[in-house]
Amino acid sequence: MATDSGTSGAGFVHHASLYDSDEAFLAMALPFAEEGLEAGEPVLAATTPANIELLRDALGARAHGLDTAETAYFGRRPVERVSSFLRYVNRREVPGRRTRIIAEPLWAGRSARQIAEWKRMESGLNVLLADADLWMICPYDTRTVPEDVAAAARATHPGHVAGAEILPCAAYVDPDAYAAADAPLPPPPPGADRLDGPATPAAVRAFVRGSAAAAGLAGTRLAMAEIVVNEALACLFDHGATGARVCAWEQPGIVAWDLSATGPATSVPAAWAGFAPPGERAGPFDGLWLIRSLCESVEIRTVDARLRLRLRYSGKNDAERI
Amino acid sequence: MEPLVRTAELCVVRTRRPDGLRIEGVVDAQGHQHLRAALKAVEQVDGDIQLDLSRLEFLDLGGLRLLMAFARSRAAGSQVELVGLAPHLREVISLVGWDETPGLRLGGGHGN
Repeated sequence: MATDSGTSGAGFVHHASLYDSDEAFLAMALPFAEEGLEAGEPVLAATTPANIELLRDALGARAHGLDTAETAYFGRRPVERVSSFLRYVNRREVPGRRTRIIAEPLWAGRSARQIAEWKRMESGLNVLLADADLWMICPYDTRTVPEDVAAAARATHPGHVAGAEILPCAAYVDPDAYAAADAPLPPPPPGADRLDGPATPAAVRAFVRGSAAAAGLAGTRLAMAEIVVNEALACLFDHGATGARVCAWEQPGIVAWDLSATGPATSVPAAWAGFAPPGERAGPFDGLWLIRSLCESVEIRTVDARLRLRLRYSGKNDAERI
Repeated sequence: MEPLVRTAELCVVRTRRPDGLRIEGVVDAQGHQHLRAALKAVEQVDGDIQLDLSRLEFLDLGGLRLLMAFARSRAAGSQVELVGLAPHLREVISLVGWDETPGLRLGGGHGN
């Protein structure tokens, strides 16, 4: 593989690698890792245990220098995935040298919603990691990934590995345009509980405590829901809302809150806002990051110039949190 | 003693032995300026500071950040201890990575 994607200092380079055999995986991964390790660059393989074993065996003694992560646990959800990448780069980067990551997303067993979120994140990485001196190759196993996921790889990576070459992806879509294709939100169900009266922060928090308790949440999970929705309300006000309509409902496994601004938005958060963790100084999307980190999903839409946030929060039956 | 802050939602009292503040009630976006002012009132105190959060009803992310920034601003060697910290706030602190804040000590919690 011609591994000269650009010299160090080139910023973020993001390639897909669609492979259909162990040999094809190694044909990409082995030279990529070898050349990085020889150059003294940090190299991480965040992939399946089977692929980590393949790569270690092929590297032999040089595998001692390889960082690895079982990909399923290297960020369970997109927001955690982004944090995992940023943390790796921060902890391992060597001044003047590029960092290399093999980052294989996991697709098997994911719900349609999760697949859409991961495709969207693959696109968003082009924005979120733009400043990192990082070369990332994302392997997609065409023996197992659905055709729509393979097609999305070509739309979310500017280039792809083809044999010994790196070719541009003709189907690549600008990340903001990619995110703009987010489906509209269905209206809240008819039986949803609605907050009566003005949506002051205190009234919204009381409403959230009530709906969380009615859904069987208590203690830390209830208190966390209150923090999350409070941040969501603050996000609406930060973007020009004069008030909000708030409602809540339950689905199996989920408590949902929907906050819809009254009054037009003075600005709209970028599609990638709130994916990077809070830094040294307060940032405008720290709250959104917290919401993304604590909810199962967060959807942000602008409907008739009004901002709408929909949060899906794990309910009382989530055995990971019992 | 007269509280440093008294609003409808928030009350902050200066405490002695140990030196510090007892923060009672609600800190949301409206409360940040009051919390900031109260922290300023103890910034000149030498040595360790104890912030008693056991009567806190609500603290948002911005309020938590003010506490972290206060701990970081203290002279090397002096500590800021958060006592009565609710478990969910402890979880938020470690989620953000603020548990590694220099000068910060996380004291015992209370149920919520």
